[in-house]
Amino acid sequence: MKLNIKTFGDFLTSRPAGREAALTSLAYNSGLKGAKNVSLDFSGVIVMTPSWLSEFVQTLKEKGIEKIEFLPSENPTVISSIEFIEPEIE
Amino acid sequence: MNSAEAIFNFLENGQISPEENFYYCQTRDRASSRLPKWMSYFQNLGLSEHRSAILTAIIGELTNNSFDHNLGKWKEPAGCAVAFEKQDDLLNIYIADRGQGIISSLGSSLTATLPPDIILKKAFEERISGRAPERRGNGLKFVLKHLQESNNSLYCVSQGYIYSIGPKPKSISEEHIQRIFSTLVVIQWSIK
Repeated sequence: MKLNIKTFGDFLTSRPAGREAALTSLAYNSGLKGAKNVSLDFSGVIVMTPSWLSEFVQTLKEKGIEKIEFLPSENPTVISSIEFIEPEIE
Repeated sequence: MNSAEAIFNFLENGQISPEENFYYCQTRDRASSRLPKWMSYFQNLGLSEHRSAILTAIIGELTNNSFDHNLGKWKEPAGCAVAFEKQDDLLNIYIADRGQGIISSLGSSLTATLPPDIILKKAFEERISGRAPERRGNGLKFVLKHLQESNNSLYCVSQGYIYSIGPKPKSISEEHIQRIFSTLVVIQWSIK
């Protein structure tokens, strides 16, 4: 299951927004029902912070997603946010 | 009135300046919604898209911290203020709030009693948060990493204590520092 992160906006910075994005996905994305693996596609994201991504990923994992893959991105804020949160999710 | 004076007026007296480069953000959404405008401003000053995105993310983390750690703890007016001031080849970015301060926020979650300046240092350099046991505490580390990698400066005054990488901004006096009961962060970013 691939999630297009850009659908949540192109400036993704706050923890509450990250949590809300994850909960909305789980509620309304039929492909996520019962899914254990998710790939995150960051194409089109302009600014991301580790706070947003941490909250998004933590919420998915709390709700039963076991494996989260980060697809490659050239955006420096996406790359850095992934680096910062990887120790949290291992 | 320049941007620095407007920020000190906000910090000390709660005054909201009509200054062009002063932005009062009463809510988190107000701050977040201004990030695209601020990023465009950085690009118009000549910063690359890459550097503008990093600087915008830094400001996003810092403004969000104001709300994460001070809701219900403000001295009116609630929220944070952001101001910009261009001085030669430097852009000074001021982020201020009238909240409880970093030392009060983080100190409440520490088991040991530590000197205030050490608590302030830990906030920036260690993966800890005043909102433990929530898994937080990487925002200021992200800010610090990118400022260090890009050779830019940060000067933080919280409850009269200082944490800095790089020089003190010329606009901040000792008198200002002693009067800051809450938090001010100044980023000095090279626009050469």
